[in-house]
Amino acid sequence: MKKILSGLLAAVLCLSLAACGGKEETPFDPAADAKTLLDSGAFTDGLEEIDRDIACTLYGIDETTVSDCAVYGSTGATAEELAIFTFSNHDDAGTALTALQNRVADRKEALASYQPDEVTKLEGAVTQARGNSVLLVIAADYTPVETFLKG
Amino acid sequence: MSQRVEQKPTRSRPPRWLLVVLAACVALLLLFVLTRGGGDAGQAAESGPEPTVSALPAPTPTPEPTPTPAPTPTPAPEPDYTQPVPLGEKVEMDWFADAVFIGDSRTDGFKLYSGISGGDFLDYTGITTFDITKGKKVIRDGNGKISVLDALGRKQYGKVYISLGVNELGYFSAERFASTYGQIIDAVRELQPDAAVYIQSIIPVNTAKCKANGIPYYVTNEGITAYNAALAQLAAEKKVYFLNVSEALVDETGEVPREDSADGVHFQKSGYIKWLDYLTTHTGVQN
Repeated sequence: MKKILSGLLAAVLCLSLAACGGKEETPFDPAADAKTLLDSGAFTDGLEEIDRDIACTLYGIDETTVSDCAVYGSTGATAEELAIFTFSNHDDAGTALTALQNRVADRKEALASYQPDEVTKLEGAVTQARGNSVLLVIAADYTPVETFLKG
Repeated sequence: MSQRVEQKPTRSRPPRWLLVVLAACVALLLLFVLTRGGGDAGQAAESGPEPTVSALPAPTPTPEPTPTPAPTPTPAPEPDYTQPVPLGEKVEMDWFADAVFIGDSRTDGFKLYSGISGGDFLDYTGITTFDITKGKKVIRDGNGKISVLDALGRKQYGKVYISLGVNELGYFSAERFASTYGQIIDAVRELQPDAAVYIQSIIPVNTAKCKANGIPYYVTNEGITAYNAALAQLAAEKKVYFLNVSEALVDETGEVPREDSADGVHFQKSGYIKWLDYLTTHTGVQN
């Protein structure tokens, strides 16, 4: 009996891990996922779309490596921000993830004395890589973001 | 024996003094002739060749064609720096290809939402003139950070646009603000000797939205007006362009309209577009 239970437990664990692993490797879809997040109620600011070339300059991402992207930001009132990039390989995605993390650090530093209330949003910022894609979310409410990530 | 001595016939020589006098006369005569000749040549040069009278007139030398003088470029009159840059012909986006923008979060919004293409941006949320003169390191450079002026010195630009001042309201007097701003202009001139320098007026706020969003009480349009007056004077003193961008965004009450304002201080995309449109029609280039 003990052996059967252990076997079942191991099987369930393996299946769970496989499911998680599969999900993590499914890249983000810039347009579709951005729409989902924008409509989720995570943001209080009316975010504006940022053109691809400007977005790449903003984050310090080499535009020639970008396959697709969807980037939205506040026009200055808040720290809220949403960015999804896809690339042709893992290395470029890894480089971009570092750039997005740098962005969060820079914003924390800049807003610490300028808009201290916004720093809380930055504390919970989500930066994540999935396959050849990366995601940045700086939101007012992270509950819908977690729901989205759990998918 | 008489010896015959052949004697040369004796000639009476003229006295030596007479020879000296004669020589002097000849010398004087020569001198006179030479002097006259030179004088005539000079006169001829001034009054042109005298007509020669002869049976066979010497062939008149073909006058060399007078080279057409190259048109002297008319130096462009110095712009009137005592006045804001006037409305001019709209330029294309490539005007900004050699431009750099220095500013705070408003310039950041301008970069992201105005639709500008080209140009470099050295902006940082919350930065002040004092931060810049003190060399605060805010511009990301790889894994580190450098100051705005250090970043500016890395490349030569044709145009430098500066927009600062809203973060200094309430902290310093207009005079001290202008004095520090002047130090930045001097530093920019030193780093960018060939660039045209444009200082932009501080765009007013929307007072109602400022109150609703908890913007500090000292951020007022009265304060902005005083700072802008100091900036206009500074532009005249430093001989740099003064861009009264404010006029592109304010309504008849002197406020940024609610629909163009995000939180009172920053703008909606529509506001940033108006800002860019103003820059493309106010370049200081005279037609």
